[in-house]
Amino acid sequence: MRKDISDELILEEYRNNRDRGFRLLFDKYHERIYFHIRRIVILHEDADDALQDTFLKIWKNLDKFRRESSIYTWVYRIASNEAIALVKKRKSNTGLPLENLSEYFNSSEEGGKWFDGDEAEQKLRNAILKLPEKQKLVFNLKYYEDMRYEEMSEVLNTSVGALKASYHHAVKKIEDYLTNS
Amino acid sequence: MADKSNIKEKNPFRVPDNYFSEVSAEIYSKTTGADRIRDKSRIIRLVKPALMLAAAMITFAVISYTVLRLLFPEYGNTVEENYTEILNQFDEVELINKLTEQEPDVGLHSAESDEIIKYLLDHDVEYKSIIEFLN
Repeated sequence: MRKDISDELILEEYRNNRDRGFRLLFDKYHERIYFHIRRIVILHEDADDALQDTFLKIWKNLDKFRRESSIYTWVYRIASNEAIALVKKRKSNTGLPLENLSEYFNSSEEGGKWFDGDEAEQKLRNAILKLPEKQKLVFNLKYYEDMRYEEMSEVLNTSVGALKASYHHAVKKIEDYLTNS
Repeated sequence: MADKSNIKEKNPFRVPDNYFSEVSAEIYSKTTGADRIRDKSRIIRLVKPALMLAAAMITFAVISYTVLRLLFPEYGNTVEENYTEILNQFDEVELINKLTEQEPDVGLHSAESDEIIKYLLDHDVEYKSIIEFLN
């Protein structure tokens, strides 16, 4: 399975054959990167744009990858930056904060079409949407990706201690939201 | 690295049918092989008329040259061959004579001098008047 291939082998393949190496990298990561972006931008169309921009950026910059971090965290860093940039752009274009999307999702036909979680998952999603940007990212990477703090530190360029504190605050806020809603 | 096999189970978001295979094709077309194959075919399409014209001109030149060689074999000699042929035809003795030949005497021949003197005597032209005329 291409998704089981190690990052080392991908980089080795990339050195021998650029196209093949990139395809292996794409095949391994594109689904999980899509959902990582989707949890930040919520709408499928936005996630699709950010996903494509992410991999085009990876394609252009993979030659310059210096192995100072792992390729796994490098890919997540690019994706996170693209997703956050898209959210900011949407906010400045429409003036619509991301939190309002939860109401939109709950009431609209499109929300039901692209979201099949149960009531608890809907509440969780709404609670996550209310988190500040950084805490939202930390919570998503920890809860959905099971990412270690050391890896997260490379993705978000933040110390492990600060990330732990950020996750703790995020969990507290989500618990409060679920208890009171 | 942590096991992430349960991510999809936790994930409540849905995507359109065949989205991932379609986005794969789209990304590949913008990055790897397919895009460059398209670029190559575009370049070939642009260059093809020029290549065809060049090939036609080369073919025409080759055919013309072959016909000329068959009709006028003497035109087919190279410059070197032409000079060699001229040198072979040239007589060495004649060449040496030509090279050592004296320049023609620019002075008056004796026969001409006699005629001038005779003319002066016949017409009674004095030596002094000639000097005066020349001065």
